[in-house]
Amino acid sequence: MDTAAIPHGASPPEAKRNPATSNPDELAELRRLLLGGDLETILQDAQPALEAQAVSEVLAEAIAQSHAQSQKQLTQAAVPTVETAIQTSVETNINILSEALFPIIGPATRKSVAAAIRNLTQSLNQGLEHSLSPQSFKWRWEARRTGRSFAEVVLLRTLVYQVEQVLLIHKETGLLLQQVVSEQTQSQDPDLVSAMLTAIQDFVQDSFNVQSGGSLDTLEVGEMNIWIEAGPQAVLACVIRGTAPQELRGQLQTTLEQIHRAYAAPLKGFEGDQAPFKSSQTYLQDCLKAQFKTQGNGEKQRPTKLLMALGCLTLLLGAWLGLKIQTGHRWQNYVSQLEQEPGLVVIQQQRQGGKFKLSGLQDPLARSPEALLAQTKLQPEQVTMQWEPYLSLDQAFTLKRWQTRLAPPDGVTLRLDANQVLHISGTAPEAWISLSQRLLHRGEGLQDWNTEGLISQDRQQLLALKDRIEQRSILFLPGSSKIEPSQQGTLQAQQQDLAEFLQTAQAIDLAVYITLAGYSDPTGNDQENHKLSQARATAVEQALVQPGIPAQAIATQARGVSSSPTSADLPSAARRVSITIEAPQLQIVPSPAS
Amino acid sequence: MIQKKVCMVGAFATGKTSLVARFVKGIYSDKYQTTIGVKIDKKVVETGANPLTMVLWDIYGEDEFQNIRMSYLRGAAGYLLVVDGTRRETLDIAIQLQAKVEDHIGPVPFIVMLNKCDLEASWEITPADLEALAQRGWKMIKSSAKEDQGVQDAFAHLAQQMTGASAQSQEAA
Repeated sequence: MDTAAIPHGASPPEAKRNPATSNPDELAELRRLLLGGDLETILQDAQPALEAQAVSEVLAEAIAQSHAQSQKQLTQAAVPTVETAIQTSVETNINILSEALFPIIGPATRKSVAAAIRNLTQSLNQGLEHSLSPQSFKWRWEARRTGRSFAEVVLLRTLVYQVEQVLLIHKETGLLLQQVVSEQTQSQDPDLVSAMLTAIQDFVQDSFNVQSGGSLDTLEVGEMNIWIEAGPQAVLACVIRGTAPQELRGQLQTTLEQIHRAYAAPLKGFEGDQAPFKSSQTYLQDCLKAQFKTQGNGEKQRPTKLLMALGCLTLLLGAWLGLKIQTGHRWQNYVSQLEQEPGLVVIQQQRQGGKFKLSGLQDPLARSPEALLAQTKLQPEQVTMQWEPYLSLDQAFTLKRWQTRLAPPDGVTLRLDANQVLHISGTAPEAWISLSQRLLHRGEGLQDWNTEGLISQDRQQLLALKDRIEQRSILFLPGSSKIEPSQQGTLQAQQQDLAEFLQTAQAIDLAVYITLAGYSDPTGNDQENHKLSQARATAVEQALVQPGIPAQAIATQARGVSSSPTSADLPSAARRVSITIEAPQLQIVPSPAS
Repeated sequence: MIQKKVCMVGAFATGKTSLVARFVKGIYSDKYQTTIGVKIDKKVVETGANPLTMVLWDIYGEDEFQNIRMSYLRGAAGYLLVVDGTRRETLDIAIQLQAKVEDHIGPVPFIVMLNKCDLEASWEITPADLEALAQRGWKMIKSSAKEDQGVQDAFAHLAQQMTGASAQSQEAA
């Protein structure tokens, strides 16, 4: 049906039957008929302005709504425009943007510098912490051997894991798109590495008939791991030292997805130009993660370890010093004890290493230094001693020495006074007295001696005997010179005592004169009486003489009438013979030998 | 920096590795070729204003026992087809290989290197053979890794073909 041939108004039943399917041309014709050609022209001219106004009224609301529904399309759509706008702004006038960014760049730079310093401090701390441990020597050796720096080796060995290198590889060509390398890492040529990694992947896929979609995702060589995440266009390869947690895998996937979104067009049309991928470095940097063993509690451990080591050292040093001081103290005590000991003179003492040396003089009578040492807690093998003999002039030693030398018998006492005079007192045999008088001499601490208090036992005995003998008398009958039997007992007693006296006197070399004096009573004449007294003396002499009493030792004397009778009451007492002993040198205290 | 993947393709013992060794210094040893069938090297050449990085995939030569891994050719921007002038059969293999490669990665620039030209007197390949190749529109360069002939030339020509600019070789970066 040719619509142009039929007037519009001539077919109302059709229009009424189905208005929705009416031909647009019919509507335009209707509008033209109703409003006229001029008005339509005006409306056409005003339409763009009207639409812009309508959009501007709802634009803000639309953007807000899009954000509220967290739809990313709008943001993604705006990215090229914003980027271009910024680029244009920089090209037109760089000052506007730089002024706007200035307040942000300042703090950001400071933050970044602070972080860098913190990292540096941390690596220094780690270096210090390990600089003296036994491990550190091993590491120093390793550093020397491998030509790495010590700090680098410390970092490597304290590492749980570190992502050392991240490569973004174009999947089809195996060409490197971008890479980042952590500090202190030595890496091979990344172009070659990425091609080789691609070749290895291809090799594995071909060689082991890997199902499509599957790919090599981990290479492990010793402590090195290479994690490979493959996307449709690009591959992310991470070189990891140590054992990384599985979360890292998730991060790699996310990063690869982000890169695919952000660089969809450059990836698709890749002709070998790396330039469009330069900005992908920021994504790759996020994958350069590391974790250290000592991180976290490192700061606490360090002082503890150090303090423990220092503590032990101080304790040992203290113990050693204590022992040294104690030993030194004991030594000084011992030396001062020796110095105070009579008969010992310390001349020199010194300490060499752990040994002690001592030299001095020792009186033979002094206490033994070795015995004194045994009383201390010093080890005898630590001490070397050299003693020269000498005589001490100490009072006690002088007395002791004379006591030893003289060996006095019981009953004799020696005493040394302050003037170094030796006082000898008591009773002693004549023989010891004369021996001691020969031994005593001045010197060796002795100035003089005094024996006034010393009594001779022998002389004492002689005096007693003399007394006894001189007390007795042998009595006679009137006119008789015959010794009566009644007088025999007296005669024998006289004979015994006299013999003992003479023997003792001879032993001590004493000169003795014995006189027998005969007496008569006054009856008769003097001449007769004189004769009688002589006869009586001679009779006694003859009776006394026997071995031990030689006749030449005895002299007789006729005294005639006794002028001084011993007993006036008894006339018989006048008729007697008495014995008189003369010993000029007999006294109790012997005269000094000198 | 523009990078291109370039493959060395050819029959067994045609001198591919020697040609690459003449051209670059790499980090991988030759043992990779016999283990995984490829060895990777890199060469930077000046093409006009921009340097071009050629990543060379030296693929282990095909012989009657081992087919080359076609997957190694994926993404190549060009390749060198190496023929040993002293062995006629290497030309036949090269022709077959070229067909395989083109079938696998499409029509990309390539240059035929007629290697061992220092032994040209004892070549089995005849001028007629070369004429036939020229008929196919193949670009051919006579080379000798031993005497360093045509090597730089071949790489430069390939670089030029790949980028469409005139290329000039430069010592390895």
